[in-house]
Order: sequence, then structure tokens, then C-alpha cells
Amino acid sequence: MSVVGLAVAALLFGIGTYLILQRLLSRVIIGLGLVSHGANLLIILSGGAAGDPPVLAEGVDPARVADPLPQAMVLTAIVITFGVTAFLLALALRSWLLTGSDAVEDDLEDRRIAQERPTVEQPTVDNDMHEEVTAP
Amino acid sequence: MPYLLLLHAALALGLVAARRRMGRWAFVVAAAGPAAVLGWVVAMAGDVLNGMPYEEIVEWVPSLDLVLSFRVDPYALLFLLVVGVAGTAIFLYAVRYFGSDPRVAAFAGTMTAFAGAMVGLVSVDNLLAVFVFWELTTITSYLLIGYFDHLKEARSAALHAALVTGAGGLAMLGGLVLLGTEAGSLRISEIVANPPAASPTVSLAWALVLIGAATKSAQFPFHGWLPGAMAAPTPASAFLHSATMVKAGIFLVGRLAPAAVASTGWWRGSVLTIGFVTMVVGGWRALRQNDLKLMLAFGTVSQLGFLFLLLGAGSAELLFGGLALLAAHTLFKAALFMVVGAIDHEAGTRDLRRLSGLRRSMPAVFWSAAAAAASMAAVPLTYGFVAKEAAFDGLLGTGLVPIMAAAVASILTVAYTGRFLFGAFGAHLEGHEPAGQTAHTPRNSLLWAPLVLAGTGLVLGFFPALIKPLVAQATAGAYGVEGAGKLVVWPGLVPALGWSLVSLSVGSLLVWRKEILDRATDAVGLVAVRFPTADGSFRRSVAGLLRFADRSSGLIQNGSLPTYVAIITLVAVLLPSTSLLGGVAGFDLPPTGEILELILGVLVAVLAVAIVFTRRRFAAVILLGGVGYGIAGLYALLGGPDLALTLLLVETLIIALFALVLRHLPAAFTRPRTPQALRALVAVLVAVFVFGGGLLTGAARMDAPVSDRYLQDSIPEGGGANVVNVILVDFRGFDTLGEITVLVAATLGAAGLVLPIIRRKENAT
Repeated sequence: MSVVGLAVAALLFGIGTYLILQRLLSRVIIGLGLVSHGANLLIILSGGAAGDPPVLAEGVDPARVADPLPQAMVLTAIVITFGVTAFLLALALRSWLLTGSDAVEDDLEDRRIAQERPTVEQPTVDNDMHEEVTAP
Repeated sequence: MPYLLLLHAALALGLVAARRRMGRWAFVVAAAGPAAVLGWVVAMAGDVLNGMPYEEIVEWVPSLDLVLSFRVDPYALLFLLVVGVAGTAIFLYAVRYFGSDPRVAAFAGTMTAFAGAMVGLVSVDNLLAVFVFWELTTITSYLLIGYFDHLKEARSAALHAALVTGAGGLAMLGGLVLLGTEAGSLRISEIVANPPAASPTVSLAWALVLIGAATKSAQFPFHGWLPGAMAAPTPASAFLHSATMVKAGIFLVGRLAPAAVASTGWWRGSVLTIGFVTMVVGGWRALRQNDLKLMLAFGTVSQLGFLFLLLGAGSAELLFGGLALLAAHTLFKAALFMVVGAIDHEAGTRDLRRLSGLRRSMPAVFWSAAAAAASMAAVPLTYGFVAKEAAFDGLLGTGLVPIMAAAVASILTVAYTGRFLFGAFGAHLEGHEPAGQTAHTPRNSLLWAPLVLAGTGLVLGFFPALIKPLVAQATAGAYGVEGAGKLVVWPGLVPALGWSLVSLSVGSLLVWRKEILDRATDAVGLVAVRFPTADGSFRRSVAGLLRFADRSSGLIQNGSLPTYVAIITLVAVLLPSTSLLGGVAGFDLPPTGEILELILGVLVAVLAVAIVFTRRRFAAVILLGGVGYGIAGLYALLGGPDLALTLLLVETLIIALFALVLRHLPAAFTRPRTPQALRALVAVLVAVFVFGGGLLTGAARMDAPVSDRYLQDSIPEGGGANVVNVILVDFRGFDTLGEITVLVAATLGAAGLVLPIIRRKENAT
């Protein structure tokens, strides 16, 4: 773990979040890419101090190599990020080809629900009603 | 006892299952339940009254203290007796009450489940088991009240009852768990024997329990659901009002009062206040009803207030009077409800302004009503009088205010009892269409069940010694005091008699000179109408809750994807960061790293920031690629050459992919329509959270890394020197399998999304 690496990871998270919060699908995808980079970097950093490559060749001291497990996980994560990015790009392309825009529009159904007023079932008889007052 | 509960469960399920083949005669079968309870009570009475409470423990999950422990002492036995007597009478009455509705058998099954829940409630010794049975009565009562599910009123009343008592039940669950933790035991008998010491937590626990009991027993201000519950068929109302459900709250306060008084300073005052307010409000509202059943319902509210304070106040004298009165209340209230049911059945209305001449046409009904009403008004020589004397006697010891409040409520009771009797059996009021002249005395069980119960009230009035041992033993069991009160036919010239007679005579005066009462009620009514009713307040609060839910979900779920993502992100960031801040133990700043690392870091940062500001799509993609290469460099520095290589390849591929897609899209981003300050704020929060969280968690490492083993085993077991590769293909091979699966799925999905459209476009051109 080093301060520089951590700062870079945090910055990537921040900028990635900012881009994910946009409406344009292509910016969202770029943002997701940045967040993935940040997350992967964070995993590597969490493995402890930097060290030699974990290749047990002649003359390598096993006590000084970097933690191999985060590396294996990040390797997997990089490839999966690639797959997800490709899928999202296909989505953006489809959206563009079909609607002429790659912006995410508001969900109309949610809009409608938000504007609807609730209906409460009210009985016609108040069982606990005050009796009408007859005297002046 | 477990077998009794199983019997109820079997009866309930059997009746519901066989509902198509059974009509109203299902109630005869169902009556086996309460009858068995009654038989059990009689069989056990000797032992229990001789100081040998029935105890049995059924282990369930002993390690969690989840044991079904039964304990029937005289106090519980009295409640069982009440359930058995009222249940048997009401079930047999119901046989005649119902027509040939095919749903009757299912209703009988629900009633049996209801009775069984009450039996379980009073006979278990474990707080959690009490809660389970407690909620069971809530659920079954919901079904019973909502039986006429084609009527809006019935549905709304059932929901009202379920919501109020359900909410109270949840409060009580919290209270019971707290109580169990503080007392170190979930067994009621142990808590009462060793009450937890006073503390704010214990106070909170008792307050929650009190709220639960108050909602169940329809105490002010939660009483609104009980009058609504009369939308149920009469047998269910009679059972619910006299022996079950509302008595559950009374049972619990009576059971726990000795411990509560010992560990809080405010319990007694609160119970007395709640009880008295309920008593007076209930009595007052009963006076102003024209529907006989509603009048009785408000009368129940009033009586429950009295019972609540007598049993809950935590003194032996009051408990004695309260238990005596509880038995009286069951007898007369069940009888009166059945009388109203008979009137409704035969005359077709319950409006006392219209009923006329029923005394001649239904003499037997009249006499049972008269006997029960006399007991309710505490006329001398009835059991109601005997019990009320005992209660007054106990109240005299608590001071002048309580006894005066009780007297006011008693006057109201006498007044509404008179109104009930004369309204139902006297002449109809002018200006209202008379009803009931053609009614005739109903036959069989519609008649004898109220007669027997009302008659029992008279018999006990002459021979109170029949029930006295039970009441006295129950009191002694709770407080260890012998001879806390007396049950006698004629008390002699004692102060309590004075209060009784004053209540009785003022009440009778109000019945006799009706115009005084009418003028008074109208005058007060003019003021009272300005105050919200309990039912009305309940509805307004439910409607308000729904409006609030609607507004807030409209605000949060507004259809905008960025809003959703922002909310999710904020929750994910803010919740853990509060606990992170709480757990800061101090940390050392990690080393800055090499100078090359710093250079690469700055490069990545600059490229990433530039992505935000560029408005060209392709520039953004190139910058993203640059960031990727920079990170690859960082990986290489940190000791991951494999990672660096992979990332270089993947970034290149991604740029190529983007280029393929961007070919179709416009070159520049459209400008965002809305200000970006909030988005930037969320982004900054996320960045700060990641940085801070990374520092804290990085400093918190305490165990040796698992990869030490991988390093050791890589060559002997995996046969490879590159440990990362060995992990990927050997130690954690399934991860890689999953990864490949994701890739395949993504490929198929992407192709399926895009190819058909492109093909269609090509065909079109």
C-alpha cells in the first residue's frame, strides 16, 4: 500500500462515479471503466507492500515477492470488465441505432407512479362516530 | 396442555379442510375445544388450588432458550375457566345463529384457532411463546372481524384491529426481548420472582410492554378498533369482547404488574390513569349509541379500563377485586352479546330507537338480558355487585380520586345499562319506524346459552364462595398475600357499599329521568364533537402515512437513472463511513513509494481529469486507454508483470471496440441539461470514502495472507513457478471457469443485441 497508489485509486473512483451519474450511455461506460481500474488498483494495494514479481525462479526470495492472490483476482476482474464493457457498448449501440440517442431517458412508468395520488379505502360508516347532537 | 393446544389446532385445520361438507353444525364439533379446556380446568383445579401449579416443559431449541414451557397457576386457571365457559356457550349458540352459509365451517375453524391461541397465551411461561400466541390472536381476530368480506365496514374494521393490535404487538415484542435480556430470563415466573433492577432500559422495556397490552385491551387512546370489531358476526364479537383477545392485554399486565411495580416508579400511575380515562370515555360513548351492539362494545371499553387498572396497578387488594370482576364481566358480557344477536336475528334490527315490544314477544330473552344487565349494573344480589364491592373495597385503599373516578364510571355504567334494557325491550321512539313486534322467542341454543351464563351470574351472586378460592389463590400466587379481599353476598355497612349505592342510585336517576341525561349528553356532546374520535384519528393517521409514503417514494423513485445511482452510491458510502469513523483506531501513513510510481500516478490523474472535460467522444476513449496504460505501468511497478501485460492487451482491445461503436455515434457529447454540482459532490464523497477507507482498512490487517500457502505449494503441487498462473489455472481454477462463462455470455448477449438490427438496416438499404 502506498499513498500515491491509494490517491490514484480514490481519484479514479471519484471521476468514474461522476461519469456514471451522467445520462449519456457512452460516458457511463467510460465511467464504469474508470471505477473498475480504481477497484482493481485498490485490490492490488490491499495485498500489502509492493515486491518482486511472484515468479519462483532461481534466486528469488519468496519472502520478498508481492502477494499473488490479489493479482490472480484482478487478472480475472480485468477480463470480466472487458466482457462487461463490450456488452455495454453493444447496448449503447443498440440504443443509438433504435432511438437515435444514447442517453438514458427517465422511466415513464416510475414517473407515472410518482405523480399518482394514493387511494385509501374509506368505509361509508364511521363505527366510532359521534352521535349527531339534537339539542340547541 | 400441549395436547389441548394440538386438539385446537387439529379442530381448526380439520374444520377448514372439511368446510364444504360441514354447515353450521361445524360449531358442535368446534365446541369440543373449549369444552375440553373446561374439562381440563375442572380436572386440574384440585391440584392447582392446593398449591401445585401445573408445569410442563417441551424442549424445542434449548440452546436459544426456545422452550415451550407451560405453567398454569390459579391466575392462569381463572383465565382458562373464562375461555372454557364462554367458549362452550358461544360455540353452541353459534350453531343456531348462523344460517346455511357454506363459509360457516371455516369460520368455526377460525374461532377454534382463536380460542386455542388464547388458551396457549395464558398457559405458557415463556415471554416469546406469549408473543407467538399473542400474534396468533391478532391474525385470527382479523379473519373473524372481516368475515363479512363483501362489506367495506367489515374489511376496514378488521384492518383497523389488525394494524392497531399488530403495531402494539411489535412494540411489545421489543419490550419483551429487552425485558428478557435485562432480567436474564425469558420465563415469566422467574422475572416476576426476580424483577430486573430499575434502569432506563428496563423502563423502556416496561413502557413498550404497556403499549402492547393497552392496544390489545383497547385502552384509551387505542380503543377505536374495538367498537369497529362489532362488524364481526355476533358469536365472534361475544367471544372477542368477553373472554379472549381483549383479555389478553389484561392478562399480561396482571401477570407482570408485580415485577413492573418493583422495577419502575411510574407503572402504577400510568396504569391507573390509562384505566380511568378509558373507563370514563368508554362509558360516556356507550351512553350515546343507538345501536345495541355498539353500545355494548363501548361498554366493554369502559369495563376493560376498569379491569386494566385493577389488575395492572400491582396491588393484591386491587387484583382480587379485578379478578372477581373479570369473571363477572365474562358472564354478563357474553350473555348480553348473545341477547343482542338473538334480537338482531329475530327482529332484524339492533337500533334501540326502533325496537318495540320485545318484552312480550321474547320473554325468555328479556329475562336473560335483565339478569345479565343487573349484574353489569352491579345491582345487589347479583355476582356483579359482589365483585364490584370487592373492587371498590380495594380502591378505597388507594385514595379518594380513584374511588371517585370509579364511581363516575359506575354511574355511567348504570345509565347505559338502563338505556340498553329499556331501549331494547321498551317502546320504540317516536319518529322511528317500529320493528320487532312480529318477532318471536327464538328456540334452543339461541336462548339457553345466554340464559345459562346470565343465570350463573345470579347463582354466583348468592354463592360467591364457589369462585372465591380461585380468585383468592390467584391473588395469593401473585403477591404472596392471603386474604386480600372478600367476596360476600352482603358486605354489611362498609364504605364500599356506600359508593356502590351512590353509583347505583344516581345511575338509576339518570335512567328514570331520561331528559336530565339527554340534556347533559347533548351539552357535552356539543363540546365532544370537536375532538377527534379514535376511529377517525386512526384513519387520518393511516391516510397520512400512505400520503407520506407516496410523496417520499415519488421523490426518491422519480424515474431518473442518475438519481437512482446517486442514492444507491450515497447509501453505500455514508452507511459504512459512519461505522468507519466510529472505529478509527489511528493509523500510520503508508510509504509514498518510488518516484516512478509518483510520476505514473500523476499521469493517470491528469488523463482521468481530462476525460471529464473533453467533449469529443473519441478523445475521451483515447484518454481512457491512456489511463489503462498508466495503470498497467503501476501494476508492473508493484510487482505484477502478468497484470500489466493483460491490461495492455485488454485496453487495446477496448479502444478498438469503442472505435467500432463510435463510428456510428456523433463525434461530440451533447451538453448536460442540468447543473452538475450535485453529481460532483457525490463523486467527491466517493473519492474521500475510498481514500479514507483504504487508509483505515490497510492499517487494520491482522492475519497472515492466505497466499503464503500458494507460494509454498506452487511448484510441488501446481508444477509451475509463476504463482499467479498456477492460482488461475489450478488453485482457483473454478474462478477462471466462471470468468470464461461471463465472457461467453457477454459475447452472445452483445451479438444478440446488435447483429439483428445491423442486419435489418443493411437489408433496408
